[in-house]
Amino acid sequence: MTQLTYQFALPLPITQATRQMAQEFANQHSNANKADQVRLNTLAVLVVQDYLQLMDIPTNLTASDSWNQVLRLCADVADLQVAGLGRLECRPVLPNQTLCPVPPETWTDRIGYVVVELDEAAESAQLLGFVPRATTEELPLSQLRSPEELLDHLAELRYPQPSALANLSQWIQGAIDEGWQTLEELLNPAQLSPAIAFRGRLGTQTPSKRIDLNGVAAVLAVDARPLADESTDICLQLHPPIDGFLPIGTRFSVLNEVGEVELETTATGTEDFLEWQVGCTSGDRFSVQVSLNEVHITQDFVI
Amino acid sequence: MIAQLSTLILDQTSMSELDQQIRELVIEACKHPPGSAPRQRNLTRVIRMVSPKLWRESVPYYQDAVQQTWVYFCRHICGSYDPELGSVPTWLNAFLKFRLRDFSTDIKKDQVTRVSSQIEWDGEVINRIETIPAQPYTEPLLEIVESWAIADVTGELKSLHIKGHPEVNAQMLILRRLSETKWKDLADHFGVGIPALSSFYQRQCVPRLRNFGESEGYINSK
Repeated sequence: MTQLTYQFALPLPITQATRQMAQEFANQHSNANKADQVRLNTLAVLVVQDYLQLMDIPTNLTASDSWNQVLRLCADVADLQVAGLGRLECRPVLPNQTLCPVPPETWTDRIGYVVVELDEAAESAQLLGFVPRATTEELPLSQLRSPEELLDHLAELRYPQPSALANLSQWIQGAIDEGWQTLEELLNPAQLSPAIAFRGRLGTQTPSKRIDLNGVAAVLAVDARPLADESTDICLQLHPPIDGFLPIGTRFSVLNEVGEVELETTATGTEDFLEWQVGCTSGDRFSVQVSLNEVHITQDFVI
Repeated sequence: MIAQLSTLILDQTSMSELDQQIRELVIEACKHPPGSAPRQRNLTRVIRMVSPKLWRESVPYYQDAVQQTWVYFCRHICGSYDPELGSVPTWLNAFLKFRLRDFSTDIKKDQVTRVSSQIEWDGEVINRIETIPAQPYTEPLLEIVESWAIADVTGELKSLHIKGHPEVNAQMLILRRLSETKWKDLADHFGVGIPALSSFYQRQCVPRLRNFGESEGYINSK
């Protein structure tokens, strides 16, 4: 029983199948510490999977690194592939811990980090909460957000609200708006390399967002940088999300402040990505619109 | 006498307050389609509120019965639950007790035909799986991955390295991580920060290890 209680901790059961699987994986390792690590990681992943199943959120265990025996051996990973979204890291803690260790090898390529408290004696667990990003080896549990916010976070990733205004001056200072991920989180490695190599403009950390075109998910990447004359140079790229092409007829447009189309290009089905480069000064507003047939997704920007 | 009576009334009031709150959360949840965030959030709140009120039994299949109860709850609360039949906790506990009884019956059936995973020993129930002694275990996969990394048949693992640090290559990093070298020690030794090391590991080493695992058939099924 935890002495430290978290207001929004969610009690969840640990089923017999879960315990057996965790023990089976643990038995694959001769090193006792490794075996322990794998057992706890597996328990955490399966508890989260059971919860997501209750919430009707589809997952793909066999596509998770935690289900790949080589990766379990070579890294401290406890990821759960959430279908269509990405890897959710499920970190275990024991009762009465105030910090959750987050291994460096899980700091990128994750849509979020869920902390699961395991009370093996009681055979029960609590979902303590989550954070969307992690860049330190120890996460204070006091920083956790509620499980309900995890649900909102997943929903936001699935259906991003494109109309939220992105403030590019703030981006340049390092404050990226909520709802934007990184380019490497959204593209696969085969697309990432040419995208970055092209004129060396984009990087793995370039803010990017999924654009849902009626089931076809494209990726919008935006790089803003200040120029010597105090204007801002903006590179906008539209990528298909998997090894494929943007559907023929996809229109990638830049609109001015009053919604008039200033620049427009249409995908012919053969490009790796579409790109626009624009220059703006402080206070300028513009929008990027991605359209396919009747569907228009607009993202507003201000400098 | 009067003091006792008023306490009783108070308890009943606070019980039905909780039931009322739960009922309202259910009504709210059911206004939204399955799989939608508002529905998920409200169902989650109910799970949190009802959990302390669940019937408890100290049996090995208890957690399984609870999970099945939650599955039933999430799937059927907006269809099969009739408020006239009682509060949500009452309705769920009834289901839970039925599940527990089913498990108990199944186990009795199993015990007749095969050895169960439970052994009773001096009145203490021991999980059979846990009593299998840990044998000195050679880990073939460790040697296999090590050999693969050392062989580096295409030379790729040795050629991939952190910019500016040719000695920090994928092959070295994989082998060091296999032997459980800590990130901090690697960072100190090579004078490269942990974020740079781990980012390189995730971007260059993990995909290759992942492919190796997939091609050699080391993905578990479930």
